[in-house]
Amino acid sequence: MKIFGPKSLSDLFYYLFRTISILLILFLSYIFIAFTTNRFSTNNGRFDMEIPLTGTSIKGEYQFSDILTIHLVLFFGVLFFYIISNIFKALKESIIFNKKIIQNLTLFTILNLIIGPVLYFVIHYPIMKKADFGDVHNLILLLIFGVISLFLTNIFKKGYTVQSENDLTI
Amino acid sequence: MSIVVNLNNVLSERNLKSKELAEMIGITEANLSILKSGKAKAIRFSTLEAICKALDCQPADILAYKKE
Repeated sequence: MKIFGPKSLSDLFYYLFRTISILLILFLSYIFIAFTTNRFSTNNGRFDMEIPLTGTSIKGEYQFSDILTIHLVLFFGVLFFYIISNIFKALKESIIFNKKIIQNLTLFTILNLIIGPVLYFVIHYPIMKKADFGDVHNLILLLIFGVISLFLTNIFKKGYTVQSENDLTI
Repeated sequence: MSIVVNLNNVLSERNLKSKELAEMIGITEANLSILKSGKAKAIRFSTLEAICKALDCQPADILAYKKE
């Protein structure tokens, strides 16, 4: 199977990640609506919200900080998968060294190197008021993704320059 | 760019149109236009050879170096 171009592995991953981002935004919308319309039960200061069609439920401390954290993390997830799907969409093009992939890789770099770590610290300290570095592996993973994405962005920028010069060789 | 393409002059001397030259050398009119406008980054020897053959001229008749 081809890696790039139409009807390739990139095409498959585009649909996969776009579906994940759509499912996540639907899930986020459902949780937001359920919290604002009180469609959940509470017991001993904990909430229990059923997830439709799955037979499972989300449980957690019924306090603003926990609810805000869930929304922020899900929103970050939506952006994360949406941008990945856009990267694969750009790889579906017949010429892979294009401007769209550079734009989306730049966004992915910013998301992982700036927005992600800021969100991690905002959630851990001002919102959840934690005193430890719990879940630090998530931060490390984001930084690794960000650094890889930064290098890929610059590789694609070089590739785009070479491609443009090649296109202008008559 | 300090390399100037004088293709228009040679074409007018030969009373040829860009479209005719493009057909003769087997490139698109759009690419010939890029070459004439000086926007091209490079020219292949095969293209240069085809132009020289079609216009019965030397590479120096088409390309010139102009100090910036």
